[in-house]
Amino acid sequence: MGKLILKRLLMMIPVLLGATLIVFTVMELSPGDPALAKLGSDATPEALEQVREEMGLNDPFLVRYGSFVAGLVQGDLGRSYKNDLDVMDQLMERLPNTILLAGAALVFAVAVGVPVGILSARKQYSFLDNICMALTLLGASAPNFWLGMMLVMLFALQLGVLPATGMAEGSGFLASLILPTITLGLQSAALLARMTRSAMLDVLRQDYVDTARSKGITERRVIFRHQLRNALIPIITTMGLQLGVMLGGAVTVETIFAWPGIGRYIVESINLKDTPCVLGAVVMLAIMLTFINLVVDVIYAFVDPRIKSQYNAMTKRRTLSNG
Amino acid sequence: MSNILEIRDLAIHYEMQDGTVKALNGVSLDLKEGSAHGLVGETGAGKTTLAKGIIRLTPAPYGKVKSGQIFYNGRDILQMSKQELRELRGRHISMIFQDPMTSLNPVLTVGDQIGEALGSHGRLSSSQLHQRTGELLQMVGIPPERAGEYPHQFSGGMKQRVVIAIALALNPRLLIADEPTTALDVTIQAQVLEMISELRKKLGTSLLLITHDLGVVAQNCEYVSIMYAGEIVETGTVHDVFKDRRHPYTQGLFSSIPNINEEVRRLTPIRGLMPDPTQLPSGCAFCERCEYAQERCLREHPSLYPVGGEEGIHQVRCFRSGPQGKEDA
Repeated sequence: MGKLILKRLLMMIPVLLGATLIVFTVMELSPGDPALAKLGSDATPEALEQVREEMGLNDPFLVRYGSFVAGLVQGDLGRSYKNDLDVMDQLMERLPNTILLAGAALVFAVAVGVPVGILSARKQYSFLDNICMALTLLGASAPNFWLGMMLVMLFALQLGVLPATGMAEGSGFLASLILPTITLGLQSAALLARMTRSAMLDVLRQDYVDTARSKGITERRVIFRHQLRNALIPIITTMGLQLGVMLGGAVTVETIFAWPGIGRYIVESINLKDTPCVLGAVVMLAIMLTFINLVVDVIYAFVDPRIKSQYNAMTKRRTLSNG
Repeated sequence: MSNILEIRDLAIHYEMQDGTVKALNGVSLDLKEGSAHGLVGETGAGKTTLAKGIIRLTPAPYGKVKSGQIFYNGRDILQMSKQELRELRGRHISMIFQDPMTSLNPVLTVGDQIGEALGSHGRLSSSQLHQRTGELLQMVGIPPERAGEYPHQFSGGMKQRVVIAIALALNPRLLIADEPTTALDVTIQAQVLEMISELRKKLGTSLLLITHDLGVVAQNCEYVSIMYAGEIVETGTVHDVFKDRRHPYTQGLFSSIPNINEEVRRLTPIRGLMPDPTQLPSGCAFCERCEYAQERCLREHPSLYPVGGEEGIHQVRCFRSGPQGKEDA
């Protein structure tokens, strides 16, 4: 198990190199001039050239990428072209807000999706099941930029019960979290409900469920201990994937709700062609994604003992072939 | 001897989109307290439907009990509340399922699964639970220290032993074994059957043994019923049915197994197939395959005719054994 985790951590290195190289190239190819953005349109060509030289913009592509990677391994993500602030500091300021939003959205998705899925599976083809599945289809198809605006129109503008944008401090904080959470989490809730339903349907009529019932245990125990526990693998897989999707979705949702997180920071930085900021944020998201995948893999082992033996067998084989 | 279980006219149908599967059609069966009753029939005859029907595990939402009663000590199982049913399962009636590979929950340790059966009725302290689990494992020949292992760490035969330990955890009065050895290889089959019959002797459990193996019935049961297309076609003591087989289907079953005492070049299979359970004939279900079939067999459905036998319980569903006897059919 420990070896598996170590191996997966090492595998993050090529993933991060690949992700940064792609973003670096895209930023290079996109139009715009950081020096111009920094000095404004009335700057003289000489001043622009001087700034370009200072910022290292005149170096060859690979040299610039190399120096970025060199900084990265030391935990230095460089400074913003625009305001010269340390990128790492800026990210650390915003990261908790994004994690908070994505976490809240995941909790919302699980709290809504899993029970709906269980209910639907147990009442398969009933009226209730049909209603739930129709709603989840709608939920899964609603794009979050549209949903966010609709929710703002309804709850903030029409009813005036929730704030439209921003992250409030203190007592208003929870209220300001509600709309972004729903916007970010609804699609995942719908997908999770559908996945839970189909996973539950798979295990609903397994022989061991009959065995469990024939013991005379309560139906509640049958559902949670025998059915849901065996349906968990696809549910957890979906949760992990959806958390990744949410980090991506944070870009739109944070922009709509002016939520001070990494997603909005990326959008602002791209508009300013502030390459170090974009790169830093992407690195941060990539680390989080690989980390989520790792956590999901570790959870598998705890949910299903067969996977745990597989992991152990994998490391054992390697030890044997080495020794 | 009183009857521990009396099934009366039980019919269970599966209502699918493309037709109704008439899996069980008016089955009546008496199980004598303390005895072993074999239930024999080919695949699709309704044996498992009957077994699951007895403890109300008919798969929802397709499976529907259309008629009948199942009396356990005089109380109709089909009328029981959820609470009563829970009380009944495990403690009074328990079940061993066909395939040990799939009848254990893969994510729980075998000790947990046995313990769950033990703890389902009345509370046990965790040390008592641990001790009883160990005893049960010992009883089925598994070292108690393996209680913490998962089903995938056991072989098929060992898994079936665990299933048996679960089924016998609370000393049930009736054990339903649905082809307990079909999925196991021959050497293990004998072990498992021997173990079931030994434990049964020790605990005094009644047994409904479902199988398609007549040899297994001969070795383990006192009574036997032959099923065909969701009906019992012949029932009686093992001695009667084996020595004085009356129903053409029973005769067919016997001639399709090799006899060690006779030199037979070819076995005689029963020609044809069992009728489609979605479209059962209105007459005798077996008549299409029967060499004695008469015009009457096509029109009328035969009932179970008593033909005497050892305890006067030998019955056959064939006009040839009916009141008018052979001259009529």
